[in-house]
Amino acid sequence: MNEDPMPGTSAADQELTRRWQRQSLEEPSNSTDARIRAAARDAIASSASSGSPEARNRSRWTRFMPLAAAASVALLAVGLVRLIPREQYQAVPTPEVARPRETTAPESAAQSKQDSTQSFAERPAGDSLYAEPSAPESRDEAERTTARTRPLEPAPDGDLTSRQAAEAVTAEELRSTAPAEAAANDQLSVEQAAKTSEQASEARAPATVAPTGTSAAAAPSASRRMDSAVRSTVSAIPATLAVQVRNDAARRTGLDPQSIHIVAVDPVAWQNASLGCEAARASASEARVPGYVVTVDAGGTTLRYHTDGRDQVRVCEGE
Amino acid sequence: MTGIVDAASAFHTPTFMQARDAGDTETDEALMLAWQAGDASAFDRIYARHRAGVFRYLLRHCRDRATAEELHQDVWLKLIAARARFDAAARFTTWLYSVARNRMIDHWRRNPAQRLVSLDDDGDGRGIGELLEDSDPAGNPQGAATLLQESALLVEALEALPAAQRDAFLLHVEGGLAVGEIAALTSTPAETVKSRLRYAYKRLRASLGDPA
Repeated sequence: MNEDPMPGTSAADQELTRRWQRQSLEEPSNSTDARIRAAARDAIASSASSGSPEARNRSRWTRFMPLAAAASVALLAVGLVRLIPREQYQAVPTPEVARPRETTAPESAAQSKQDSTQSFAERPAGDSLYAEPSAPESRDEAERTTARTRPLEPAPDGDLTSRQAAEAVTAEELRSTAPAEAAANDQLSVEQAAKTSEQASEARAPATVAPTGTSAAAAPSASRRMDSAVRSTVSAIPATLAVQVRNDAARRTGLDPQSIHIVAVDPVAWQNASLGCEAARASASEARVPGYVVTVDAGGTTLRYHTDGRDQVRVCEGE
Repeated sequence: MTGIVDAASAFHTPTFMQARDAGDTETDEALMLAWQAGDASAFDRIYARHRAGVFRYLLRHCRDRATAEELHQDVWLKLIAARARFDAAARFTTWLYSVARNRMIDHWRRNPAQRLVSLDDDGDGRGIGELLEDSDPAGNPQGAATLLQESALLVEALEALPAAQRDAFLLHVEGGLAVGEIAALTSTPAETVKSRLRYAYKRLRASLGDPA
């Protein structure tokens, strides 16, 4: 076996290769060459017009880039939402629950006009559940009441008018009319104390002693404004909830239910059925629950109630 | 335009080595990348290097010049169309001859009556003695050798080789591929390729009267 381990490298093989290449001279025709070269140039020209392969790859990527960006943003948003503590809530439109005092816009406008002359005692019985005539005791309280009323989302019913009326009472207006409002509120309370039930008048009488020396001319106007603002706050929740909140607050403080003042109602969307209460979370279903945070003043004690949209009322431990 | 002039002058150089000797030192892969990037002259240069080798590879297999011209054009058009898929990490000649080889196989599949052979067939072809006897009705090998020119002897000896040996020899001599590259291109073990080349060289030498 005297064979070359790598064929073609021996002298004999190299001589054969040389002789092969010396005789192997066939070439394609010029016309074939011309067609191939023309095709190559056409390919380059078409690439230049429609973009090189790399450019096409880039354009393919840029075509999908907006979708990729949108998907990234969506993922980021979902991630952020999941990071938000469960107790944190967000303002949502007022749930469409049945409200006994649903009026059309003209009715509300008329009602608003009536408010200037009609006392609370003359209103329908159902109104007593919502139209708590709690006069702000100071300018700050009046501003707070107005400010907390304003974030309420538009309600698709007649409450819109009363809400707009409440919004019309800006803090600035309240500031400028504070003395007159105080007089008006006091006047209103006196009237109410005389005409409403004996219980209510007893509860309010100490705080509604009419001051003397106030401007009677400014009273009707300011009275109408404050009445709208307060009623809007209270009427934002269903009657059953207002009654339950008052009764619970009365039970906790030992006061009369009529002396419990609902000072703020904030619509919320609870993350689950625990209504934002940590203690109840373990057994709560995970569905979102629309509801309210209702702040009441019970004889100087402030209580915050977490409610759903209908009949669940809860005071969270530690609040 | 200088590149086109250079390429035109290189068209008639038979092999890539001659083109390189002529001063064209850029690698095939670099030229392919330049062509991909839009340099039309790069293709002219790369075509000048390999046009003859590819054509002869096809011609020796199909034995018909018109068919070889058609296949040759198809191979290069396919390469032009697939230029974006060329990977610079691979060797250009391996890619080029794999395209040519596949086109050859396709041709035989579509035209089985013309000639259906397997490029993996290692079976013995006709012996060189038989070939020479066919060429010389008188049955005198010595007289036939004198009648036929050396080139004709070689070509006919090559055609007498088993297809796999002929394929390995053509890839080695016309394409300039090394044993390892032929092995990769044909999906054959390197030792098998070596063996095929060894037999091919031996038989071709025998055709020229060199028994060694």
